[in-house]
Amino acid sequence: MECTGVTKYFGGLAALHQVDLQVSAGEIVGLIGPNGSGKTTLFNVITGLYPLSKGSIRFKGEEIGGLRPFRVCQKGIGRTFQTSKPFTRMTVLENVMVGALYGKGAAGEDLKKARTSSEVILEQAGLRAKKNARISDLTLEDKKRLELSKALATRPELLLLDEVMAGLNPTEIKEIMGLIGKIRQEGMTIIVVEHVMHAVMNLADRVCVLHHGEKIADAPPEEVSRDKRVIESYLGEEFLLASS
Amino acid sequence: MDWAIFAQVIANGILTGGLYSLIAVGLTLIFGVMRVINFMHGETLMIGSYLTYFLFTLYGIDPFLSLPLAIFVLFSLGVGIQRFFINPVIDAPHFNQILLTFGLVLIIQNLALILFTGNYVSMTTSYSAVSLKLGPIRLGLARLLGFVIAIALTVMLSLILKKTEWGKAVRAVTQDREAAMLMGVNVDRVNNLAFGVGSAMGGAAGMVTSMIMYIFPLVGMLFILKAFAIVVLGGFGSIAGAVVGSLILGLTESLVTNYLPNGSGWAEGVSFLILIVILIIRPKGLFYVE
Amino acid sequence: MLNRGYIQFLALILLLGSLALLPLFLSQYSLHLMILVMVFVVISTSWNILVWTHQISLGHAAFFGIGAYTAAVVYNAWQLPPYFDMLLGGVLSSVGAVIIGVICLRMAPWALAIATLAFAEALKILVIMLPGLTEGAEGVALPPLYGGGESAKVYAYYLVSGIAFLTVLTAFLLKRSRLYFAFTAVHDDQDAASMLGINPTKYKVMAFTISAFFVGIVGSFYAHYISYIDPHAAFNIHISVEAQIMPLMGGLYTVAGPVVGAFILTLLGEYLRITVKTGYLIIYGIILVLLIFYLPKGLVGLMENWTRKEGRALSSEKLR
Repeated sequence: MECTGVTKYFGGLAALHQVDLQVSAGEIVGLIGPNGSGKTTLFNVITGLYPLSKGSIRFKGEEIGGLRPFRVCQKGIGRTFQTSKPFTRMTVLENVMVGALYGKGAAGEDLKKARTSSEVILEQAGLRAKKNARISDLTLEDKKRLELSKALATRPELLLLDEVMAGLNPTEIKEIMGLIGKIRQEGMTIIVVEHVMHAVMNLADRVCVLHHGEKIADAPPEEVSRDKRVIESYLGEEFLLASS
Repeated sequence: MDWAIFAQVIANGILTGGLYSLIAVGLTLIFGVMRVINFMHGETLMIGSYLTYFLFTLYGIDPFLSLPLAIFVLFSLGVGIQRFFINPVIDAPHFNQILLTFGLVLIIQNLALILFTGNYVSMTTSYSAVSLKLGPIRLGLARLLGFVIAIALTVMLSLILKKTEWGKAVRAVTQDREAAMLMGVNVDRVNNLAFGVGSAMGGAAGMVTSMIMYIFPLVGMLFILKAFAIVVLGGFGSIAGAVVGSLILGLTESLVTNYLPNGSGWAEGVSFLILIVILIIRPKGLFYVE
Repeated sequence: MLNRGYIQFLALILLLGSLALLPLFLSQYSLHLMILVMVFVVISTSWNILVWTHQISLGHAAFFGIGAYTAAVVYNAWQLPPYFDMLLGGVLSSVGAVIIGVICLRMAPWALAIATLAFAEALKILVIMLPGLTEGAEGVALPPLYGGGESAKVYAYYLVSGIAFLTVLTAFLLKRSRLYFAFTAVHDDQDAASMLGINPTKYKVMAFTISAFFVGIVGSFYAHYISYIDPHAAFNIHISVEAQIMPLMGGLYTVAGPVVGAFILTLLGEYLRITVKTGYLIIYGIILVLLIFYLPKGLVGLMENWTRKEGRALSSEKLR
């Protein structure tokens, strides 16, 4: 995927300004930056939830800037939301089935097939035991796993994860990290937005840093963690450096 | 172009707009504070009308004297209804709120039907037939006085909102409910009073309409859709918007009635046209309050 | 499990059978009542379908009226067979639904509620103001359906029951289909749904169209059956109100709910109308308020609580 000069204005304010971002197949790219730097906005623009003010977004050679979200999904980009948005009137399994029924290449998919493929995904994500549970019975970590499963059910080639580890304890974070690693091994390309630094630094091949809507760094994790500008932009915030 | 007629049409429109604003302001206040669509607002008008009517025909009390009583009664009623019926569903899905207020409408309207029968009634006071002449324009005294009342009450409300503790609380809650709660505003009390004040203004509107038109149990329905159109046009929660919207509606209806063939029939449709058009092009209304 | 399904199926057959045999036992008046019940089965089931996408229409009478007036105008102009009018009524209602559906796409539920209410009222005014086309406030007369004799009611009963059956069947099939997942997803969270490949517009408008279609048909039927239609009857707000109370009473996200609600409330309404005469609607208001406070799942939901089902949560719904 290639973002060139992506700019997004809200009123007079540029939430994103001339952001360039390249992601090659099979990579995990970390996207970090202090709160309000535009990370979620970038996701929203890529997935079509917000229209692009300027610039272009190409996916697999095709221009997707300006497409509506459901089309972007059908092109092969999946995404999780920062605050998980499960369908509360459905069970866990049914939630995932929605993705299976309507995601990429799902035309004509029947309920039985969707059910089986969804169960497989839930198995992968470790939610098989809770497949018939109601949303209200889920823990926070479960909901994050569900969010991930729903996106996976749409058979994406590029996965955008928005703070999927927010609010989790260290054990849970480790589990999710393992999950992400597994998904990547199966050939998925992933962009991870995170505040949990050690997770990003460990998982990512490359890290991009946004600050006030502009990209200020784009390099392998070790370089970024030593970049002066990056450290400055985070001044005053908790900043866990990549350890081992 | 007959300017005398045009002036009359404009004058009528303004007077009508004044009446509408009494109803619309109450509705927009309630929505601004509570984010609840109050379908029974029209019934406050109906109750106010009947109250004024009975006080006049049974006890000879002049409508202007019963105005304070109407205001008080409707205020209390409003607070009561808010506490017992609206508050429980205030955080419920819109669906529940809509149906609940609809249910209340059915109850109140039919209670009136049972108690007062469906007959149309009207009052004739000493000034019902009097009109003032202002140059080429004739202004019905009753309507003019109604307009004055509308202005007076709206101004009073604005002053209350600006100067009193409660008024400031209302504005805070209208702008940002969460923040207001965090700052210690007693939202429940604000809600109760807002619903009370809004209903009271509806009652005042009822007193005015009782002077100038027929009274019957379903009269609320006539006004509620217009009130909605005005509130949508002016922006939910904005008093200024409600006033401006009322004038726009009043003037448009007056112009349509006079200048379009069969105008009086089409005039009823003006509010719907405005409603649908605004909901499409600018759903937040002209003076939207976040 | 197999046993219960078997029993349910048997019960259904029994029900349908008795409904089919009713005309043999009922008086003309009772038959008329049952016809009314069937009309409302169609309206309440259709309205319910729209709710599955979180769109609340307060003006469903609009579609009824479109159907009724289509029948009246078309029949008087060209004397086409009534079945054709009815189909046309359904089609035109759907067209109206697409229009209002698209207009209301981006609106919040309350805005949509008000807009649909305004739509119904606006159509009423339009009909009144265009007497050249619609005879205005005076209303239109039509020749009675099936000649109006004794057996006419029986035929009418079978016709409307057929329409009702089709409507309920549609709702039933819809609920078990892939479409219901889309509807529910759009209902619960439009953004999340669109991120999973669902086009909210497509499904919201689709729901509107389906919801309006049968109502239009039954509106045309009604015009022929009563052999007279006027704007206040056709676009009557009570139709819209009952369209909501019935599913609410019976159970909003179920198929049986609106049917149960239609039966109970139509019969109750008629009873009250005769005994109490004025102001009987107050009972409706009280029922509505009580339902909202105490029985949001409706009667069918209550029953399902007693016979707890597991598995598909989508089949036993809570009012969200």
